[in-house]
Amino acid sequence: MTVDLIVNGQRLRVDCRPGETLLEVLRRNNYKSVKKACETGNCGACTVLLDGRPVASCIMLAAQADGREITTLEGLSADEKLHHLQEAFVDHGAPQCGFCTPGMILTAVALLEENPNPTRQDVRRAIAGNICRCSGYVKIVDAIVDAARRIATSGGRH
Amino acid sequence: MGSEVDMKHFRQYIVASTEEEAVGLREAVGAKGLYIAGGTTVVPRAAASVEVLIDITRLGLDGIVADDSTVRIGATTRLADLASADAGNSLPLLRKAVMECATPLIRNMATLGGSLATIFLPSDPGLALLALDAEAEVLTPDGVQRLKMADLLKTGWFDPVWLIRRVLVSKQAPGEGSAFLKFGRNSVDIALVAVGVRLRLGEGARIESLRIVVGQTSAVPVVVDQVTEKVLGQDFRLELAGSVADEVCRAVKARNDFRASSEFRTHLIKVLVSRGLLQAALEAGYRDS
Repeated sequence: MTVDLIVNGQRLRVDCRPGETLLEVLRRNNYKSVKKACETGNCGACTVLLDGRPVASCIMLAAQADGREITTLEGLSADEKLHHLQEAFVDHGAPQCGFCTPGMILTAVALLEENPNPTRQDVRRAIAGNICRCSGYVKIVDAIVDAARRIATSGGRH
Repeated sequence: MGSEVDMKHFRQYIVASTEEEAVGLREAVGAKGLYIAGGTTVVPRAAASVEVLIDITRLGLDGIVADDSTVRIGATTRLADLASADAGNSLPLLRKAVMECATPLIRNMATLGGSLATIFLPSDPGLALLALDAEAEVLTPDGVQRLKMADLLKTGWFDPVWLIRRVLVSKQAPGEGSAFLKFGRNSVDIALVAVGVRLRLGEGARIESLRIVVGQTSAVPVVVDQVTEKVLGQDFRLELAGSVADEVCRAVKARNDFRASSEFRTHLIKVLVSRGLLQAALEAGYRDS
């Protein structure tokens, strides 16, 4: 079947089987930031934004995303400039192995869109679906709270 | 082109353009077909025999409409939208159940109708709707019907051919209170026990209405009306909460499995029902004097 996706603002027409997941379709179209881990919707490594909302792409069929807008980490940095969230993650040493990081950042993008001034508790609740096996989450929360401050003071994402 | 494990076994994906088309298709393909909305259960867990998926998300069945007394929730409303909408304020029990359910990522896709269809799996929002004495409006091959969910529980639940259109729930009013508690390691885990309580208190803390539902502890959720009917008309007090909890424990045969013994589950029922009753009573305006 043919599915029309809009990925990071670009139209992407794919031929795929009805049973192909959005995760698989994105990865074979070179969006490698979207990670494959639990494949059961539990860990959040496969997080993408679907019309701005974080979802688990491993338990979604590509067919379900027909005509919808998808954002991956590749779409966050324009002209090689990192998004404030990416910079904050780097500055705080938030990634260890980095595998959960794309999903974490996308979830944080959606959080800050809805709540530009989150408490640490708000952040923890928002990332409840993104598991990190390395870090213990403290620096991830530090980075997201700091990124919120940077976005507020700079007036934009970069 | 990717390993076989990435590929789910579905062979046909059809987007229904009318409700009648959806029901007709579902009837025609029988057990080989399933409705799909959010897909958070269908995609990872549909049986290998399911080949055809009928997408019901373009039928305008999402959305929440409220009047003075009733909230009408479209079946394809996302759980996340239910938790955040104004309607969540008028249905605190449902919002509590939704916020304890799964993860934010899943709540952004999963729908209320899907929660009902998967109540045995188990489903927290489904339990809350039972406690709220909700009605479901369904499209069957014979037309539209409205059914009380508690009645459906007695007759085998929803026929898989039926298209769930919306759910109707009475708003929580002054003098009413509710609680939703579940016990498990975290929200993604299947709980050992979950309890929903809805209570209305009148003059002098008189119990005018009470429903308790216990879930995740036996194969189907248990509505213990036979226990709660006995306390109608009595004044709520702490000791009553304890004795009702004891009666609920006797009424529910808690399962014994590798995750917990029936003794432990029964203990959890006692604790959660007692706490739930007190929380609901406090919300309904009860004050210990």
